[in-house]
Amino acid sequence: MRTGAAPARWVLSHDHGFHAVARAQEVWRYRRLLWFFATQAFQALYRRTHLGWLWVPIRSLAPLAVGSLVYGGLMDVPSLGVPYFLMLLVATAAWSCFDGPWTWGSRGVEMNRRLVTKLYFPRMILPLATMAPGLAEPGMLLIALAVAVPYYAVTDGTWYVAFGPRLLLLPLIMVAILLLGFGLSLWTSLWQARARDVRFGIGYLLGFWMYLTPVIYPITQVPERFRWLMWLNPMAPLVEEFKSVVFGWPEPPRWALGLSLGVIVTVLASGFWHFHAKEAETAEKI
Amino acid sequence: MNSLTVEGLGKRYLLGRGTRSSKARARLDLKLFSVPLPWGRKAPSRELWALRNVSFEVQPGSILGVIGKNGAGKSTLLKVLARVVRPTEGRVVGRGRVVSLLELGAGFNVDLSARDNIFMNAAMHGIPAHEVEARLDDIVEFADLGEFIDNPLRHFSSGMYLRLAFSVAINMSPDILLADEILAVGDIAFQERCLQRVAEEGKKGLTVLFVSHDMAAIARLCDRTLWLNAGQVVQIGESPSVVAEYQQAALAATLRDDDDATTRTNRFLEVLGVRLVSSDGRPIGAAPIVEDVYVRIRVKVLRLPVKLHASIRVYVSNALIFTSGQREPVEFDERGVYDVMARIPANLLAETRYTVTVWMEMEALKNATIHLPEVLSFMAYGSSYEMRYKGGVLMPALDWSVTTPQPDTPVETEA
Repeated sequence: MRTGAAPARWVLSHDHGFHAVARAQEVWRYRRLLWFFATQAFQALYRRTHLGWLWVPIRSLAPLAVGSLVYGGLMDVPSLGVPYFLMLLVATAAWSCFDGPWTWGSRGVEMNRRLVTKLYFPRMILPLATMAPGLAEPGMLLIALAVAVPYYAVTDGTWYVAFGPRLLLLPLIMVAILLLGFGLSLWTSLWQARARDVRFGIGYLLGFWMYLTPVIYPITQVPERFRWLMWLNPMAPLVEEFKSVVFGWPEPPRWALGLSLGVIVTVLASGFWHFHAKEAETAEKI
Repeated sequence: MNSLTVEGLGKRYLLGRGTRSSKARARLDLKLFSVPLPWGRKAPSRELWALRNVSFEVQPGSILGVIGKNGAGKSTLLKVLARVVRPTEGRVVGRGRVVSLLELGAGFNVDLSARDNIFMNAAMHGIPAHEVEARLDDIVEFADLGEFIDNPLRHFSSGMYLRLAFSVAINMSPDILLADEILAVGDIAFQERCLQRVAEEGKKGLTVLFVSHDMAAIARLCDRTLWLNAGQVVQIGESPSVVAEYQQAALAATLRDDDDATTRTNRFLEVLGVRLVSSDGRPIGAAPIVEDVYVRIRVKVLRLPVKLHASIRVYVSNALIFTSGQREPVEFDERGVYDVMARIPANLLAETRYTVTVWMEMEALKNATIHLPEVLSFMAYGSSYEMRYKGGVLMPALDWSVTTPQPDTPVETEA
């Protein structure tokens, strides 16, 4: 110990500036905390429940069953030749990469507020790690998909899925959606640490947002002349692209996808900047 | 080469905006954003400099004590050095790994085993797993955990918890260790081991910043001591002299604050000191909950006759918790030095910090009262029994029993 090279010198002052590389290296050095906070968030998820992890399939699949009954059955929403349930399942899998991870990521700082005022570590790890429980639902839905597709293949005699190399795009789309959730969490997790209103606000907002995204209906339900308006929602092209890859449907326009990716990059970059600028201040005020 | 150089350090807090002024009312105050409306002007915030113009240097291998009243900026200083709080002005240049013990077991998860917690606590200080692996045996041995290593912390006694926290911190081979009051709790034997270990590491170059209210520990342990008041450095130098001057000033200050009855001496009596002592008379910095402790007021009787009525008031964060006074006044027959002792029985205190105010009233001499506000401050700490029922400011051992109802009284069913 303390032999060999002189210990590294460090400086603390009001403004340490924003060095993206140095920050990234720091997060990497503390990467084990990702696992730690993720486990902690998972523990918080079903603490003091009797069903425990059984809630994961219940919570992901029950709304799907009800949804396909109401929208697909009663309201007869079209699904372009595939079973409505299958379309809803695929669209929900994409949407749930946004919904849950953002809600969870946003709680990261709030859940660990005591720790944040006592110890230093790169706090950016908090929103990132606490997104983990939000991954349970998309994971569950993908499993359901893996079961549903062969089931329909047997009963309907067709696979519905457009098998091919384009399916490799699916993980990329999911990552893009997760990054959007992470970028938003970088903003909202700091706010939420100071005011719990944000949590309710996000829940409320997500309720609307889902209806403005082609999750329970195909984009073709929107009249052609209003469709450009739909594409301004960064989630719409992503969810639609996800469905189009799975079912081989026509793709959303390139500009819409480009815009969506642009929004993600902007939200992420501004999120990093905001988090860096405000994390210390927030730690002092909570 | 300094281990730590602090130059003109300042930390400013803005306290709630002055919304009471009429000008300030013309704004929409949401908690997150306060939206200035066009017809209003932003009201100035009140500022508080928790630290201002603090400069000092610490040599590697030395122990710096930090003392001062509550709110003097001691904890803020440690938080700045621990990077929890960002300085407003000035800068700190340090060398090597900083490990902080700002709170007992901050970052421990009671659902995880001691082993997992060791790794996670190390990770929180940015220390790689292989380094912890190599040191695991040392950590377990120093903390005296034995076979409890795989038990969740939930089942640990407070003593074990403390030992683990300290052991993890010291075994991470820090270059700088920040300890807030931490060494003042824990049983005496363990305290001694901690201090010994700190001294050993000091020889290898460990620098320690040690905040405490326990002046005896500061004087014994620290090479030099920094005295803060209202965020500014009053003095820094050899521990015994700084501690002596601090105590002098603290005692004198209590006298100036109050308008009447505020001297530590009057014609009859001089209060030489107020200390917390164990049942065998040793001064201690913290009170073990399961043992009797005494508040010892050492007085010098200057003139006879004196009929003294001593009492104490005990506070927790400025709330009066209890008072206690002598039932009968004592009469002194001879001049000389006496110890007035108040026994605080075992199993009364809870795990928190207490502040004691002393009143010395002379019978029939109203104006001669000696009042010593906040003259003593100490922590109480517990054992496994108390860990189970935590919280509150007192934890008295009540008499519990179970009986059957008397046959002639009707049995009531209570909701």
